[in-house]
Formats: sequence, structure tokens, C-alpha cells
Amino acid sequence: MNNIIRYALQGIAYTVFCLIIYFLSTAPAYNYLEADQAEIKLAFKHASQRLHDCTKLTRADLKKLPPNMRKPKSCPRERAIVQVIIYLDGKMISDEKFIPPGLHQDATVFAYSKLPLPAGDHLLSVNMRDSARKEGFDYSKKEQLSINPGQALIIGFDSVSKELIFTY
Amino acid sequence: MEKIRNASNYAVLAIEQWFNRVFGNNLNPFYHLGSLSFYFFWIILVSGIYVFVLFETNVAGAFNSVEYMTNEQWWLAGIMRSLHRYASDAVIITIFLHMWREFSRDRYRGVRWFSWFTGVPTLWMVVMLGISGYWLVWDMLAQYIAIATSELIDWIPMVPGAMVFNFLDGQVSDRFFTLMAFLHLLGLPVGLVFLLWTHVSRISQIDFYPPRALAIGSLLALVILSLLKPAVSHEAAQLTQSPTILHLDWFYLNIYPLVDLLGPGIAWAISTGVTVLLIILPWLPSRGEKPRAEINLEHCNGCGQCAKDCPYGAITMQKRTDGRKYEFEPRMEDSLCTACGICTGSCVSSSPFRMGKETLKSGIEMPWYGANDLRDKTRDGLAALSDKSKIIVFGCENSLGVERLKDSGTAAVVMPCVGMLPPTLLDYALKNGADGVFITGCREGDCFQRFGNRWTQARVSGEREPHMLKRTAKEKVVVFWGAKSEFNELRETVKDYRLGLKEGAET
Repeated sequence: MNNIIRYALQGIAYTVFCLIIYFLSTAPAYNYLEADQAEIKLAFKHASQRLHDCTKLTRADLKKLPPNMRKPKSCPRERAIVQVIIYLDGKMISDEKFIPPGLHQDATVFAYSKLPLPAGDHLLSVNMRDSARKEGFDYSKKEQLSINPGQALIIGFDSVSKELIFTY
Repeated sequence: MEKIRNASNYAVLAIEQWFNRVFGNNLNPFYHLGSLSFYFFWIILVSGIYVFVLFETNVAGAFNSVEYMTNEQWWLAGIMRSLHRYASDAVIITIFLHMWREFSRDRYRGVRWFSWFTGVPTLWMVVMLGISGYWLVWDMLAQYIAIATSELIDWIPMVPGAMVFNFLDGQVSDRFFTLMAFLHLLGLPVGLVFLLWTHVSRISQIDFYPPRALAIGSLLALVILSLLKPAVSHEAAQLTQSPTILHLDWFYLNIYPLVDLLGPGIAWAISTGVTVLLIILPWLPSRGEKPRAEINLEHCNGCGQCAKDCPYGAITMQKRTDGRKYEFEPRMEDSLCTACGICTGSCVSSSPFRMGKETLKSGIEMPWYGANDLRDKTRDGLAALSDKSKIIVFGCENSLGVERLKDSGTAAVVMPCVGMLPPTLLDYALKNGADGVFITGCREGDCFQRFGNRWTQARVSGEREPHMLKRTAKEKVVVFWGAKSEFNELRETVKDYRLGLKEGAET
């Protein structure tokens, strides 16, 4: 093969190599959110309520226990599942349950989930249950919001003031 | 698996053949994928050091310092940043081609399992290094990666699931950012160096640098790319915002859309599954290895040529233990030996002119295929030929399949690697009636056993020990390097040679 042709083909080989890098280093573009979308992030740490109340042990119950484990009250450690239901403009868009981690299901829940929402004005309503109750909710918050495209709305929970918080 | 490997090998050979025509065998990038990867790491290191000089390793300053490099000092820092990124992308291409090639050539099983096995965590380390680099720019892409990585890590059971809470509102702590900078600048590179050292620890005479022309060509190509399309950042990170359109580097960040689409659990399952599959590949199925080479001290003069020639560092020299006058003797490390026989070819004791009619013993040879077997096959092969012009072809079992050439005028001797051929066997063949001797093996610049064809070529041309006899007519020795797909060319060359012999006899 003629040297000029060889060098030209080598140039093409280097060009193809660079084109692969050129293309795959930034393309195809990935649409994480559509241009007219925003994002809700449900994110909080919370230790839910205990499932069972402490009970006072009888003398007979105490006798059954080894001497070093005899305490007047028995307090089961298991905590309630945290349930969060989100309504957008009156329509339910998410219903999630977070099981407390740990062998005894007694540790703090790290609640985290994401969902897209269209940008614009919305009525956001969040209900949360963190106890053994079957009906109703322990915490609720409703707010009229104006969300811009690409905005991240964080639904949090303040464990001190015991209230749901919207940050955006 | 064998069918997949063979089909894959034909594809690789076809591509390599094209590159051989264009670049020449010595500069074929496919024959230097490992050293090219090392070379790209050097470019990454040098450009990274320069970028680090101007980089601010804190949340507030990181983005602006990168912007300064890209926009203000584009003529040097900008190019360095782009080189840093594009060389990192290039290394992924060379690593994957390297893996594809080693798989196709069946050079990942048996004794060679170790290099493949250690290559898998090395790849993980490279990917983590790349991801942590993108993190440091602290733009919207970095924010996206930080959050998605946290989601992946938080998913792991037993890990306190709170990493993602660092990136929700407010500001990321400088301490966390410093940790990432430490990982990218020191922790992961040190781990990578260790893994790379482990990866190549079971082979000898490693080419750490590609040929100069290839190095210059690759660097020039990356510099031109950096000038034409400089690496740029996304918008500055803003935790109250979510990214919309992201220009991902798919070489490194391909896992993240998968996390969004299928969730971290499935993303982990896929990446772990692929990793496990790659790790166990050498045993799917494993290759039954033949017995390793053995040392026959009574026939060894301790010259050390076998240790110099062994492509896997399986032979080392030590002080003589048998009381003979020689200073050294070879020592075999069985776990490194691939039973290629190159050591037999390098041993002067493999000369077929030794020991007359007795069983020939070499100083080092495989118990199942030694110097005596080579001599017998050569002698018997030539004796069986009935044609007037007799040709004998020596070849390896990994390339051209020379047994197909056998006919009334052509004998063929196949060995594990053509590097096993003692040069004096060529003299022996010519002395025993051969009118022409063909040496064949893998393509020039490429050898299944790394150096078999290179050493053979050097021995025959007298550049490397041991040599052919001086009085032998060297013009009767023809060397032909090629792959399976070039068998017809070999057949034509043998045919032409025979024709030449006949014409010579007539005149």
C-alpha cells in the first residue's frame, strides 16, 4: 500500500477513535427531567412510635426471668411502619410505607423517594402515619405551591416540632 | 462458549488484519492495547497534576476554579482538563478492546486466569476513579452523580442509609468534599497502581510504553480533540434544583440512568452479575492444562537463556545444586508455566545433533513433548515424503493450522508455540533431505504465547541465542507469520516455493 494512502488511513483511524470519544463523552443527552418538570423528594429521618405500650410485669412473670433481667416493666421495641401519602391537586400521586430497619424493627426510618411533577401552581397535601393506628393520620400538611421547572421540592419531617416541612 | 470465542476471534483477526495493512504490524494499536492503557494513565496523571495546581478543593471554590481553567486559561489549563477527560475515556476503550481481544484469543483461562481475574477489580477501580473525578467539578452533573451514588450506597443492606441526606438542602460540607478529593487524588490512584502491578505481576518483559509513533499519534489526536471540543461543565450545582438535561459521559456514568429507570437494587444486581460473570469466566469451562516444563539438570549448562526467553517469568536462575562445574541452574515456578515450550527452543541442549541415536534430552522440556519428539517427527515426516522436492513446515497450534498442508511433498510438524523450535532443528531438517523449510506462527507483533514468533525470528536471523549452524543454506528457510484466516496465502507461498524448486532443478 502506498505510504500516502497508509498515512491517510491512519488519520482516519485516529479520527474515528476521537469521534467515538467525542460522541460518547457527552452524548446522547440524558433527560433526567423533562424541561417542564420539577421534582418532589420525600426525605427525612424519623423514629416512629412504638407499636406496643409498656406493660407492668407481675410477680409471677418476673420470677420466670433470670435475676439480671428482672425489670418492673416490659417495653417491646418494635416501631410502627411509617406511611406517607402525597396528594397533588387532590389526586393521590404516592403512597409509600417505610419499615423501620433493625432486627427488631426498632431503628430510625430513613425515608427517601423521588417523583416528578409538572411545574406550575399546585395544591400539595401530605399525610403521614407513624403509629399503630389504622384510621386517620398522625401528621398532615397542605399548601398551595408555585413550582418552577427543574425545582426540587423537599418534603421533610421535623422530629423535634413533629411537623411536616416543605422546602423549595 | 467455544463457538462464541471462535466467532469473536475471527472478528478480531479481521479488524487486526486491516490495522496491520494501515499501521504495519509493529504499530498496530491492537497489539499494544495494554501499553496504550498505561500510556493514557500517564497522560491522565500529568494533566491531572496540572489541573490540581489550579483546582480549589472546597465546595465554594471548586466549580469556579474549573470554570477559570476552561474559560480564562483555556490555552493550557483548559487543554489539560480536556486531555484529562478524553484520555480517561480513551483508557476505557483500550481496556474493553484489551478484554475482548484476550477473551477472543482464549488467553484468559488456565495459567493465565490471574491476569484476567485481577483485571476485573482494576476496571472497577478505573470506573470509580472516573466517577469521583466528575464529582469534583461540582456542577449539576456532579450533583446528579453525588445523589445517585448515594442512592446506590444507601440501598446496600447494613449500611446506615443516610448518605443522600448530605445532598438535599443547604450546602454540602467541605469535609465531605475533601474526602472525595482525597479519594480521587490519592486513595483510588494508589489502589489502582497496586491493582495494575498485581495485574501484570505474572508476565515478564512487559511493554509499559507503546511504540513512539503510536504514542505521538494518540497524544496528537487527543490534543486536537481537546482543542476542537474542549471539556466543559454543566451549570453550577444547586441543591434546590434538579437537573433536566444531562450530558453524561457514557464511558463512566452509564450506570446512573439505570438507577433512575430500574432502581438501585436492580442496578446493583446487574453490575454485580456482570462482575461475577467476568470473574468466573476463566472457569466457564476451565482449560485442562498440559504438564509443565521440566528441568533435566544433567543436560543443562546453566546459560540462563530459558529464563531470558520465558514470556511468563516462570524460570529463574539459582546457584547450582548438583555439584557440576556450572555456576547456575534454572528453577521452575509451575504455577506460572503455560507449557508453551519456548524454553526448549532456547536451550542449546535441544540440538538434534546431540546424542546420536539415543533418546535426545534437552536441559528443559515438557515431559509430553520434548526435543526428541521434535527430532523424531521431523525425521519421520521427511522420510514419509515421496515427492521429489521435499518441504517441511514447522508451525504452532494457535495460528495457521499447518497440518492441512501435509501431502506427498510436504511434511508438517506442529508444536504448542513455534518458539519451541530449536534453530538447529532447521539444519537437521535440511541435512535429512528437506529442500525447503517453512517456519510459521502467529502474525508478526502478535503471538499467542507473547514472544514465540519474535524469539524465533531473532534466532533464525542470528540476533538471539541459540543460532542455526553457520554452514547451512539460510535461503532455504522461509518464514511466514499469519493467522488462521491467512492459511490460503501460506498454501500459495508453499506452492510457489515448490514451483521454484522444480524450475531450479530443471535448469
